[in-house]
Amino acid sequence: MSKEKKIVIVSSDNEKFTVDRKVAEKSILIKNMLEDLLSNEDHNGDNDDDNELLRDAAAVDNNDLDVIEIPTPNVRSTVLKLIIEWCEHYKDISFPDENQDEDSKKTPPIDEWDKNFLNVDQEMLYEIILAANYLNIRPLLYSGCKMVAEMIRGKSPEEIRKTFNIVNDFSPEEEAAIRRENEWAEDR
Amino acid sequence: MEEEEVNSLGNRIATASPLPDNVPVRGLPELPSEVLVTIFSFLDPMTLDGLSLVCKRWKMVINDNELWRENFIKFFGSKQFQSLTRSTQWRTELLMRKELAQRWIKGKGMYHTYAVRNGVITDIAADFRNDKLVLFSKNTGDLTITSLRSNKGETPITGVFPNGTTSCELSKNAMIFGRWDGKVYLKLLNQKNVYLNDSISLKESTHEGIVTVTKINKDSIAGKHGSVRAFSGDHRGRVIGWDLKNYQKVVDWPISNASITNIESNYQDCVIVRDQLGIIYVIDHNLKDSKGPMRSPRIIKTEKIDENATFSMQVDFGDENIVISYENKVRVYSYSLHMFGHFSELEVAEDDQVYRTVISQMNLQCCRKDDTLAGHDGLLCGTIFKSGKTVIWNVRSWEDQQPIPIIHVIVPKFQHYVYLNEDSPRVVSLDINSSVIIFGSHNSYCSLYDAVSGEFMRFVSRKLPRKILLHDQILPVTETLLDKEDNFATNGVIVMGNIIQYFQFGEQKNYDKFKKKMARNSLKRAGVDDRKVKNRRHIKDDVEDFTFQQIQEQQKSELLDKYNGDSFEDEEEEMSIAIALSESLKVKERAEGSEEEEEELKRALELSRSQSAILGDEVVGHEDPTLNSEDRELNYALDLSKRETQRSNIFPDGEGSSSRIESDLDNTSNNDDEMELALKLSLIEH
Repeated sequence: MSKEKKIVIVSSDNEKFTVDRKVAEKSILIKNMLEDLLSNEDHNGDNDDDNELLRDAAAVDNNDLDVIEIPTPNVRSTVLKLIIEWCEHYKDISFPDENQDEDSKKTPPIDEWDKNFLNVDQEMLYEIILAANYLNIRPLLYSGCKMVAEMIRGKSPEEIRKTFNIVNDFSPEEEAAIRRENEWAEDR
Repeated sequence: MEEEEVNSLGNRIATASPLPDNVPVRGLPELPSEVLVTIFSFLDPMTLDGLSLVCKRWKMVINDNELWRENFIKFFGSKQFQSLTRSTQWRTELLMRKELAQRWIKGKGMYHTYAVRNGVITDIAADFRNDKLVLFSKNTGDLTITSLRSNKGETPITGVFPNGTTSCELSKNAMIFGRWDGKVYLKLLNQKNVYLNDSISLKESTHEGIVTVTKINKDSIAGKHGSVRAFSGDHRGRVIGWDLKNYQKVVDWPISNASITNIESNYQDCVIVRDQLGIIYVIDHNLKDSKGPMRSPRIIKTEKIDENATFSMQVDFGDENIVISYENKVRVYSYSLHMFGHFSELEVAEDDQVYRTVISQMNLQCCRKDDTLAGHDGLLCGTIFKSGKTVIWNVRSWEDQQPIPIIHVIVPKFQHYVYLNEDSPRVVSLDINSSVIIFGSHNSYCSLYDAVSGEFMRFVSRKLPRKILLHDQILPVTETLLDKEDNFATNGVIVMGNIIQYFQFGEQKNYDKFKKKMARNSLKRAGVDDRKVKNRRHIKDDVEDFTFQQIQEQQKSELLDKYNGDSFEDEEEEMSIAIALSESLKVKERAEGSEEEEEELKRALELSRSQSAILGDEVVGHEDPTLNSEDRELNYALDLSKRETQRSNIFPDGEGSSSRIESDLDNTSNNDDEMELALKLSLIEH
């Protein structure tokens, strides 16, 4: 019976996205939430009180038995839309870590589709990474991080600062000290 | 999906979000540390060093061990594993592991498959550094020495068993045999694939009856006088330790009244012996210089098992654990002082049977377990069950009376798999190192899995060429061996019947610099001063050279007499004597108080010997100021001898140097004693 339920993901700006459970469960956070929710359904939602989101979702669930609303207070609608697009694309591919949420394992290599998908401006990329991190979508998180890593690779510290708009907060002495340290880079 | 147009700014203000903190992220620097670490984890170590120059926060993140630890666990799903880098830094461990895994997975496979003229191979010893493979068949007594990578210079020898052999063991350097009449034999297999045809009978064998076990040091058989490099045990419970340099017995212990079934030793300070009654004897004894009587052994009583059952005993000397496996039991016993005799058992299904248990033994002599390492310096062990599943567990992580914690249960997949019958298990061999696990199937296929995450990596073996296979036979993988001499190696060898397949993935990278750094760091952690270790190593090398030179010197003593005090025969000789002379004077000036160079060298030798004896153990002793001054003198001596060799090298064609030498000579007063000394030195040089 749980299969027929519609999942509604609500963005921080209150936009609602209705998705299949399969798509929503690409997010391990949502997946765990749903599992807890549905297994506890018969026990009148008597579950973890620490989990604010869960209680929220459960409350919604009690009001409307066919729809489960999941709020994602950290994700803007523009970002959430992209995330859902990604989840739709991968809905039939199972990643190794999806069955054992905590001990996640390896990632598939960054794929062409992901590369195109993540070909967005820096700010959006960071927001996707953050959302993937929050929603616990490891493959997407790793793809995003790899994209950023690619941007870093092969650049000098100065170039990196320029690319990412980072202020150099080292004094020249400190910088020299680090350089020296790196020379015989020791493992402490 | 709802497609409502939303003014995001407006909505953000009027948000109904339960969490107030909803500020959008502007740039990379604002990302949380855990995400930054994830990004950094896709970069290589060299890039990261540079990144700590970007800003304070990045530097902090890059050096935050705890963050990297979390990232490691997130990525690999395990926090107890066998260290690859022997680093305390999770960052180093993670990055090197990722890099190595890429090489295993994506590296281009290079294979070499060949058949050897040998009976079905039962024993194998591979020397990856010297490209040497030694194969032996217990059934036929055939022995083959060949080059590992190419099968060049294959040397097959048939029937190497001395008559009446009852036990034997193979190492890459030698083979040891025990006979029914109590005699023990040794066959040397030296580096250049030359085979010494006669086996050497070890002297004074006092085994009264059948030799049941023979064990040989797998790493090296040469050792200084009086060091034990092999063991043999007989059916009356006697154990003898052998010095393989002089082919003499060094220790002779009547340990038990029952037949000895197993002997394991680190050839340093410990021997573990098990007898037929299931009693395990732990004997602490200095095996490098075996003097004095045996201390009474510590005893662990284990179950007596059926003589015909397959039984294996392996020892983790680094953390003092004994692993035994038989029938449907896998147990690990501790022989450490505070846990002595306690054990833990692997949970096995009622109807399942242990097929084989393999410990990944990186270096037998490897230092004590180092808890500070990333991953807590685990030691992996794999147990294959008849049902086809393989359990990977950590020998160093268990609690008394509790079941052994299982890290992974792997049912390996193979390229091609044929079900034969219930009696032939799916997996018949395995090997583990710090990065991968390799499984061999009963029909000559192998697969590779990640040792930490337990994930499938790649299929290993190639289909065997038709010309090699005699019929459409199904060959099980007898043995799989990974190169364990180098943690970063991505090669290994697979043995199937008499067919060998050598494999290598990607280019072998040279991590020498990195490894040196790691070795230095681990010594530093142990509190040993870097410089001294280096010196000691030099000393050790030079001691060997010097011993060799001394022998030469003796041989040339006649020549010395001839030259002594007489005029020199040619210019070259004159020159070299002059050099030696001048140098000896220089030593005098520098090392105050020391009289002759030779004497000093002797002292240096003795010192270095005593130092190497206590190396690693007594650090405090080396801080002694008097020793320090000796150290300094030692350095001079070494320095000197090195410069001498350098000089004599440039001498024959060096006009400039000879003129310098002449000027040196002018400053020295001629003295008969010095002359003699110089002569000696010059001869040593040659």
